[in-house]
Amino acid sequence: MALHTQETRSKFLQLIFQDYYRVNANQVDIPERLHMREFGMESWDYVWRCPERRTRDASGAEKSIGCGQSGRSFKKFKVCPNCGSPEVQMTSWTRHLGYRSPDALRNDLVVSAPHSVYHSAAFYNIPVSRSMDEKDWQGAELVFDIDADHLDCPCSQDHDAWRCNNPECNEMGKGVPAEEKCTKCGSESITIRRWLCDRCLGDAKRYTLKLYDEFLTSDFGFDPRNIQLNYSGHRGYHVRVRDPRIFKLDADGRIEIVQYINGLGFSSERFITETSMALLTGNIPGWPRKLMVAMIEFIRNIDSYDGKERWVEPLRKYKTAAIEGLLRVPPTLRIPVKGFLGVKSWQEIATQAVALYGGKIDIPVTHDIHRVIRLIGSLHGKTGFNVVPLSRDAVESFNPFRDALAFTAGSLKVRVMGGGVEIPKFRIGDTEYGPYGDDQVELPMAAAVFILCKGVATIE
Amino acid sequence: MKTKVITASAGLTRLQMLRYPFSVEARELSQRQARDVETLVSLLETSRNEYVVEEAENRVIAALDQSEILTVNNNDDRDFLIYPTSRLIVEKIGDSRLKEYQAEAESKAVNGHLENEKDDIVLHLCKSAFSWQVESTGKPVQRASLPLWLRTFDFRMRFEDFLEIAPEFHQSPWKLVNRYLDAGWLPVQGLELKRLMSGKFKQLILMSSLEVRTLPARITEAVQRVESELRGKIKTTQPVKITESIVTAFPPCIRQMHEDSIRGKNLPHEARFALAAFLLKIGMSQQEVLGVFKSSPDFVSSLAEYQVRHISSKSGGEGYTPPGCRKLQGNGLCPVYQGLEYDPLCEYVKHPLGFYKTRAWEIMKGIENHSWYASKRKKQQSF
Ligand code: SF4
Ligand SMILES: [Zn+2]
Ligand SMILES: [Zn+2]
Ligand SMILES: [Zn+2]
Repeated sequence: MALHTQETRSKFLQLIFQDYYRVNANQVDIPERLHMREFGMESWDYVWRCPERRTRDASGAEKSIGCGQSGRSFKKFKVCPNCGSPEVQMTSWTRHLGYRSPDALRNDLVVSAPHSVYHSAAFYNIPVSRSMDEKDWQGAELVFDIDADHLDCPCSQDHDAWRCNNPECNEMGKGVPAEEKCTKCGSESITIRRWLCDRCLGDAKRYTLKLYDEFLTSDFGFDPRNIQLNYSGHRGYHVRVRDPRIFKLDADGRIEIVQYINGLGFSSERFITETSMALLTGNIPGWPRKLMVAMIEFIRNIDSYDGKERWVEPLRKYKTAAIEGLLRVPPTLRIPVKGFLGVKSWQEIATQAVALYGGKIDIPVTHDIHRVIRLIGSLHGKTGFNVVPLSRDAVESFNPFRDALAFTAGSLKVRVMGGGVEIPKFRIGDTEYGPYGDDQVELPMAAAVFILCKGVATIE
Repeated sequence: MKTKVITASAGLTRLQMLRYPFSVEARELSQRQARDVETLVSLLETSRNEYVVEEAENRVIAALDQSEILTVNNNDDRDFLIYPTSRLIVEKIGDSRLKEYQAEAESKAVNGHLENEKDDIVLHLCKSAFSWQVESTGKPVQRASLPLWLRTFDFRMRFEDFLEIAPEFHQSPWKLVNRYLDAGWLPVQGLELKRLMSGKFKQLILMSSLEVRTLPARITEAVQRVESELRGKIKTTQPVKITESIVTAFPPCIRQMHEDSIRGKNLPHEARFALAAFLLKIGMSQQEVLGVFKSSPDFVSSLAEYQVRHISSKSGGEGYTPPGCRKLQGNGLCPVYQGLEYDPLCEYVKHPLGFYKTRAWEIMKGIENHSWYASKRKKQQSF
């Protein structure tokens, strides 16, 4: 794509984001203890800086590289526009921002209309300080990210696409290749175009509700008033727990929480033995309470399990009998088949079942006590969708393609670039659009903004 | 032993207060005599208080020798100054290995005392000293109606408090996923609670620091004696020197584990594995790798040898592949991910070995400018 069209697109998107914030800045969430939060913004343009340094050339003579200039640009360049140095650095990120009042934050959003805006889950004494030491961490909310990226949704093979960055290869294809490597040249440097649909967002929703219902409010006993849910603006949901009792928890403690929810590290040998089965009835808290349900669900779906363990075949064959045994009161591992699975196999089955039944939380997000999280009420630059706050019950009926739209007036002519791998169909409101190849189309504003943000269309 | 009940304390005997220096009561008593470090230092200057310095020195030496820490009870309130003075000596020396030894020994002693302690004292200490929410689950007869699994637990505690310490213990029963978590509470056995308490005390020592300026001659001498003892100890466990250039090419994660290990910190299992596998992979010998682990307080040479041999010997001498960035990040072993350190190269690598190869190459070529990284693939920064 020519640079100037990319520039036009970014400028346009920044302008309409600006229009949005001008009217809706008062809708953004003001995080508790605002003055203790670090903010980060991703802008539509880049800040470039050309570092100056002295070095020696091949003959040993001293020379200097770079001019020390800096500036902003919508275009990305490989050499300094001022002196041609190849060491020019570009970034669209600004971190260590801080706001003393809600108005200061809202004003800044109107003025800079960023691609994305984030704030720390942590509270700091000096949030604008550049080093963590000086920031002086005072605690952090407990945050969870449930994103289709981590859910292995089958639909990603239908609607995602990739291209190899190796200039001699440039291979492209549908879906996401195994191990995220180019299928032709094996390069690890590929660009993946992630898409979203009702199906993957539905999966993310399901796991969000599970996290809320089965873990946060029951096992962990968090007060619903201390749990904030929101749509991420792209492929998932965020959960923030604002119970002061967990603010001081360190990274190790947070990992334990994620592993609990994801069902990782469960010692099934403690709960599954010849004699213990009779005891797995009644109300035993924690994972044991979920164990039977998890195992039954696992065996029910054993046909789609792709492991190669020795117990897979027998389990497929005697699926019904095995489930019947587990459904008994008290449950039993024995079925009337001679030489059916031994206790060791059952323990392995239980471990797998627990991990599959568990939530699908992205570990680094929760454990990193310095991470930034998207501001609720802001716009997501990859979709133009609103980051919508949600109650537990609102999640159920929430539909991002209808309920997160920020631009509903007017229409726009855009050029879609689906030449390589076609742009999958998508739905905005009640209308379905696409799929598109290389097309020129006039679309309602929300749909036009969506594909512009996705980077697969330009303005004509 | 004779005990005297001091009325000001909420149920702790004098001996109990001496045994639990972290208790509110013991801290109050020592603070009543020495409000802060300055006052303590000036108290220790007088010859009248010589025995305090002497006992404090013994206490540190015992920790260093990994022998038992004895409770000194002279029926004299100055006894309460012995523990703070021993901390003072260690802070003055400022050697993290020594501090690690002290924390380990002090916590072990506390654990031993707690073993025979009555439940109400245990509960009292949890609440008053650590602000933990812990409750008794009642007498065994009262628990008879509970499911069998839950009857053996004497206490229940809040998961937030449990997680302050439990992640330091790496066996599976300490993992939250294996606990009977219910509405934020989880049952714990008496012995487990005591382990958590002594672990908390250890953590408190490791995290506290004292600003120590000049010391009177009396303590300075004690400090010097401990220092020379420490030097002797280090000499016998000195790790094999890794050359400077190798270390400078280490990624932040490995550098951290390597430093911690040499300083005598007990590394969690995952870290030990990652470090050993990494060092073996970059060509260090088994003997050299063992040297790196020699100073850890729980070093058992035959076990460590076995582990290192095991790691290096998988599949025809190939060795285990050390874990990649993702794994390390998940285990809380990547300081960059935790925001504690920063290296631009980390944004472009997926494996510490990749970091090492690139950085070693840069060092060899004398490349100091890192802007060429940007041409490599970008890693995700946030969500
Ligand atoms: S990013 Fe990877 S190499 Fe860098 S410190 Fe973290 S784990 Fe180590
Ligand atoms: Zn320049
Ligand atoms: Zn390729
Ligand atoms: Zn999808």
